[in-house]
Amino acid sequence: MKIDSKPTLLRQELNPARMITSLWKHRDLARQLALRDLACRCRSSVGGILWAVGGPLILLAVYTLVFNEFLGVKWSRDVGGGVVGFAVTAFCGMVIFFFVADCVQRAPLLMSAYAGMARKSTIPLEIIPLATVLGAVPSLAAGVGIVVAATAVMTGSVPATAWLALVVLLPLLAGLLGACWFLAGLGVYFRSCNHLLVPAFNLLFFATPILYDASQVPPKWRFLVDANPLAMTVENMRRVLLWGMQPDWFAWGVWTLVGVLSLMLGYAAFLGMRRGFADVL
Amino acid sequence: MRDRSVLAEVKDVGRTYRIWRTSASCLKGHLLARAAAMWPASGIARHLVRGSQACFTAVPALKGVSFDLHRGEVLGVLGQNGSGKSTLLQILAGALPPTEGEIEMHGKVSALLELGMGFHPDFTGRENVFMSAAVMGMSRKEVASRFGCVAEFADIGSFMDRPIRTYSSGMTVRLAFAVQVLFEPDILLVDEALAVGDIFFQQKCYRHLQEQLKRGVGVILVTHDIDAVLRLCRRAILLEAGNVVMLGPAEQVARCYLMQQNQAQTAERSRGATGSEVKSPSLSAFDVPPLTWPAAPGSVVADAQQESNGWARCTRVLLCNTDDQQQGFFEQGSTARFYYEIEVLRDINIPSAGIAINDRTGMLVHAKHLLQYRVERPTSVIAGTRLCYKQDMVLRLSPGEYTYHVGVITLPPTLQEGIQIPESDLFQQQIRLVETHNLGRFQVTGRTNYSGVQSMHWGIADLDGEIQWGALVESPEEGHRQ
Repeated sequence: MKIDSKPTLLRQELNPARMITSLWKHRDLARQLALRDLACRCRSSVGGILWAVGGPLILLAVYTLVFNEFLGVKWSRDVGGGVVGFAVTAFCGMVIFFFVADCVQRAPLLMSAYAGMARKSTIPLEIIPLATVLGAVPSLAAGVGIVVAATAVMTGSVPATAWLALVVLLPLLAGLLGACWFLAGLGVYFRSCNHLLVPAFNLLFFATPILYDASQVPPKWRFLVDANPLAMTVENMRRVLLWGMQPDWFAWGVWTLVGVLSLMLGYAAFLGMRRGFADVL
Repeated sequence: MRDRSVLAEVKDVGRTYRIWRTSASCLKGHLLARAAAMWPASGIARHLVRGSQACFTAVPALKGVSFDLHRGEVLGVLGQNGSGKSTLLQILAGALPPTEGEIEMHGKVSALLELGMGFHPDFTGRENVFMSAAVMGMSRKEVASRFGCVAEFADIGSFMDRPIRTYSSGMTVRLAFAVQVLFEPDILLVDEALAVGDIFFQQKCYRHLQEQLKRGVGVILVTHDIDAVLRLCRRAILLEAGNVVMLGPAEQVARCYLMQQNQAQTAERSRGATGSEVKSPSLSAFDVPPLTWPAAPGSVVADAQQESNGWARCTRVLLCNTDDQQQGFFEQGSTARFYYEIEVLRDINIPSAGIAINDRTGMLVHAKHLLQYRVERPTSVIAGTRLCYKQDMVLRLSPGEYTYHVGVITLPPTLQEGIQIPESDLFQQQIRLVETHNLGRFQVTGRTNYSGVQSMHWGIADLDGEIQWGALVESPEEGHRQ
């Protein structure tokens, strides 16, 4: 094995085949880190896993009360079941949002959290944001499971299109991973990154049609929803899980391209920024 | 054709850290450098590079480090804090890219840079072992198949399945080190991690290390522990401010390191002191009776054979028997007599000189200097005085070959006034005047004129004592209890 002072050309590192083989080679480590991440959150608090699910449910109850009961917000397509129907529809969106928010808000702090490993081991650091996203997937799956179960209870059956949820989530996962890589790298140089993200996500929550229907947005503000990748995913998830419709394939296609682009650029940015970690960490 | 015995070749390696003015300027600097790299050798590029370089100050942590590592050898790396030892190890482990030079490693590398990497207090010992091994590149399956070795080495019993926040610090450290037995590397890098745990565990660690060495593993050991270096290493490197100032036999390097430490202390003290270490200038006479050098001339000690801080030097040494005749072979239990001459170059109080004896593995067997024999009153010895020391030693050592050398120290006046001088104070405040390299050797042979068994003892030390034996008689109290 030869180590020299000439760094590998970024061009070579960005080869997609190389990226995939590198990540695949370390899949065991990624899996272990993801499991540790998950277990950490469960073990560190009393009744940990209950909070992971219970927290959002409590939030959902409050939102349902305010938006459905007080403000009378209704969906364009009714699942039936009145208040519960509203709750399930809203929850569908919340699950997606919290998944993304959780990953993105933790991303800038990842490298400092794993600074010891970053400085003293030879693991490829890009594994860490990947593991973080993987670690958040089980709670996403649990949330989706609750939505499906609730639908089954209310309508007596699960829509045939439910399995398409996996396809719908692909562009989200790709884009999210890219964003996490980018933010993880940036977070090393700009520590205050995550301070900006928290209010940004508060805003994003209301800019996404989670607690209201996309059709209720007046035309002049429509662009906010169209430009929001979460909006597309939430809408499509509702279509396949609750309303038994095909997802909006055109929008999905566009956002898949964006997602893949985000993935590649995020990876490239991370690798580029990684060069300077040793001086700053 | 590559020499098969060479495991690693380090050529001119250097690492310069960049201290950025702000974190943001780090990114800016990198971007500018990247942009410059896209159009090399153009006017814009030069401008960009200059802009990039303005964002940081370069701090060289290592420069021009070159050495080879051979099979089955332990190479010691000594140096003060901040001399670049840890940086070198991180580079060798592949965790940090060098900014200059290149390294060729022929074999698998395993680095023990930080004990318990990947450990998390809320997880059990078992889980932490898997995680730590995964971080160091071993898959879960491999770890599972060899888990028994780890459990055996760590010896923490049922605690393996309890969270490590319930462990004592010793147990955590044992577990962390035990993860290492999973790996079978060709090159092992150790960063000051050997002196952990209690003595049983340390012995276990050393045994493990010896086994690895027998397998032909090459070890690079970074440590402050001189004893470890002398015991384990044949060769060593001395790092000072990122440069290799010495590469050679472990003993020489260790001595140089001690002198270095001492010079730093002396420099510090003389910066504060008035310039003279003499306690009371009114004592002008040297009031210790003279000592005659015997007829045999002894051998001259050259300046190259010693490290001196300039206040004194050793000029002559003679090893003889109690009849003052030069002799190199001694029977076990007989007395060896050392004469040595110290020339004082600067006014000092008590030059406490002594002989140190090392065995063939380089281990320090016995060393004793003047102040360890008795309490001496502070005396003033003025520059230019030539002192003679005569030291008798009863060689109750195992038969074999030994080397000896001379060392001279003195104490600062404040310490000399005390009745008791704790070892820690002595170690920190002693001023090393002279440390010679091995001046000579002698052989301890078995007794020829003896009754009973020839060997007087086994092992390094012959301890005074007595043994009695006879038919067992129970004591009266025990009889009553029954």
